[in-house]
Amino acid sequence: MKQQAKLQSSAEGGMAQESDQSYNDAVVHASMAQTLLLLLGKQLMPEAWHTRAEMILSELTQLFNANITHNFVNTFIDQTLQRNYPPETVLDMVTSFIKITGKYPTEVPILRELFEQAAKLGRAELALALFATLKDAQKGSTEDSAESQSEMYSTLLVAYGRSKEVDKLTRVW
Amino acid sequence: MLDGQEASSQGYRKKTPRSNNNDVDGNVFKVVDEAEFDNYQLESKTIEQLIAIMSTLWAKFSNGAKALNIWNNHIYPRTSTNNMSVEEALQIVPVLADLKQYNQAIDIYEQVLRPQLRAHRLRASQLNTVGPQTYRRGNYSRPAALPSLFHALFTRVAMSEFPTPQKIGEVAAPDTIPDGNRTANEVQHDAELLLELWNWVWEEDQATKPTPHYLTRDTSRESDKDIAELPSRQLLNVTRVKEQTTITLSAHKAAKMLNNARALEQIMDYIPQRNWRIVRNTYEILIKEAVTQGKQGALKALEQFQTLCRFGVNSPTLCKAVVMALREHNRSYEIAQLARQITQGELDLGKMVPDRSTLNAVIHACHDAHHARDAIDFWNWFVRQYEQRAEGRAVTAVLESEVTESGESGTVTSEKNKDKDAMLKPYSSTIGTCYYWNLLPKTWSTLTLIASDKYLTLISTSNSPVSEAEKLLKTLKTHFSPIAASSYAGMLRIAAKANNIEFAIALWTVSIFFSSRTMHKSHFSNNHLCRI
Repeated sequence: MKQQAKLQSSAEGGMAQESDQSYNDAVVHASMAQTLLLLLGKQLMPEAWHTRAEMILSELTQLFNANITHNFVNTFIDQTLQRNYPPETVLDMVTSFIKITGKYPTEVPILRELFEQAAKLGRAELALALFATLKDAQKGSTEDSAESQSEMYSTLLVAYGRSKEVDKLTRVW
Repeated sequence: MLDGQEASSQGYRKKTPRSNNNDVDGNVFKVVDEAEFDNYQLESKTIEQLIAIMSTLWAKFSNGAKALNIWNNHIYPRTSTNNMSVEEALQIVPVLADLKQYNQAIDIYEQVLRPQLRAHRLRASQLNTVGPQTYRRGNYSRPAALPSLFHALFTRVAMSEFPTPQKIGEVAAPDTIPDGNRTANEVQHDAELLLELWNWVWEEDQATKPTPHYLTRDTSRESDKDIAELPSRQLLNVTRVKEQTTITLSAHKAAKMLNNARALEQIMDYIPQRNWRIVRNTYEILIKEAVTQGKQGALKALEQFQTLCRFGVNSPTLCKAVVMALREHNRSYEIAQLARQITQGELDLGKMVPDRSTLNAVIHACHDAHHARDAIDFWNWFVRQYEQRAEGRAVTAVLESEVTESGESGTVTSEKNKDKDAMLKPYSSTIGTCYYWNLLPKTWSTLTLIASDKYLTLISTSNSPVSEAEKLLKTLKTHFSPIAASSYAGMLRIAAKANNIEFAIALWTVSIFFSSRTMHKSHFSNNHLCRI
């Protein structure tokens, strides 16, 4: 919630500074796209959702002649995590979303939560990708401690263990 | 001084003698034959008796020549303004004025009555009472001193053709007065006398009955026409519309001559409505002046405009001037209130409709003041006015039926739902009508934004939000009317709440479609894009 408030506040701040109506429209459409994607994610099968999401994001980027930003990704995934959706659905949506946009979230709390969810459900591939992203995001920060590193490795181990792909773990190690 | 013969030849209005005099008081009035007066020894009568005889000759027998003869030969030589009593003056002034002896009537007023008024020994209302020994209302219908004096002064002023300044503050040059017998200073003096007298009348009226209203007056003696044209306020103890007209129009003339805006405003409330042209003329001057005097002037102009409308005067030009002045000083709330008064019929603009720039200003002001309903109502009122002009074209009706038909669910509608429908209707039909009035893009978009936002707020609290939102979308699609992106976002939230995927996708598609049509991509800098 904090994260969302922060993002919203940053978006509002930007909007206040920028009086251009067209910019405001772009922000509103981005928010609409997120609402729609969340609604669809609740009811559509993962494949169907992926197809729809691809179309919606393509329309959004074409309309405003823009690329999806990390902010957009962070906000969408944050909102998805807050919904009371089944964890599998959340991870399906996030995986699809990352594939479509080619962008991972950049906010550490979001990454950590996703990483833990992925590990719990044995989504080793996603967990590994998130592990690497989280390591990068934490680099140089106070959270980049030996204890934290050790905890992350343990979580990754859980992910592989639950995915029954323990043999691949050695490659990571 | 005129003699009897001369007076007779000047065309006094001839009155038909009435035989019924059962309400006449005093011996003189009981005389039933005019010839009886010939036997009177006038030299032996008192001044009071002579005045009574003179009055009777005129009032009862319509013999102006004989009445003036008594004045000229018996009263005037024996009395002077120095020793004339107030009672005598009060009785003689109306007779003299009625006999068109204005100079003498005014002279008596100045010498006898005016000093009493100035010294507060005489009240203005006393000038309007008729002495019991002379005239009583009924068959003779004689005027009292007050209206007579106004009439006398007015006649003398009007005869001088004093030019009226067109602007408050402007002073008519005295040497421009094409006066036959009277100098500019004399005419000005008359006007001052008039206004001074008005001021005493007004002050007493304000002090004695601060909120008088015509409904409280005894109208049993007025004709239906007179009652219909009663002024908004009854003046003092003046009970006849005709007398009030004389007083107010005379004072009005003087106030205009002397550029006394304050007096003009005071007088307006008392002018009978039939004289609206005069009122309009004056208010035009007042309003045009006020709008140039900053914020307070704009507010004053609004007040004056509201009064003007209550007189049944329609002036879109003045409406525009007032609205623009208020807008210039950011008085959006006042504009919204004015719009509401107009749409609710409290202020009647009649057949005249303000122009589109006024409409534009009103809509934006209502928007700024967060008076969405007032904006919508004003818009709908505006459209209706134009529809009434364009024969056979009923845009609103058509659109309303379209919206209603598309949204009928076939279920029994409860009273509560009917209320909801009534609330939603103006907003839904407004969005539709905007399409037909695509002449003011800025207003159009503002209005659509107001309507759709407000509509959405209402939809979200209705029993069937999705069905209502679908109706809105249908209206928008039917009329190809793009609305603000925020409105689509609002609808989408409603659809998401109701888990209505189809509608949500439709909203998204329509929104993208309209945005792609209206989007000016050149507006997007890289700075914008990276923030999406």
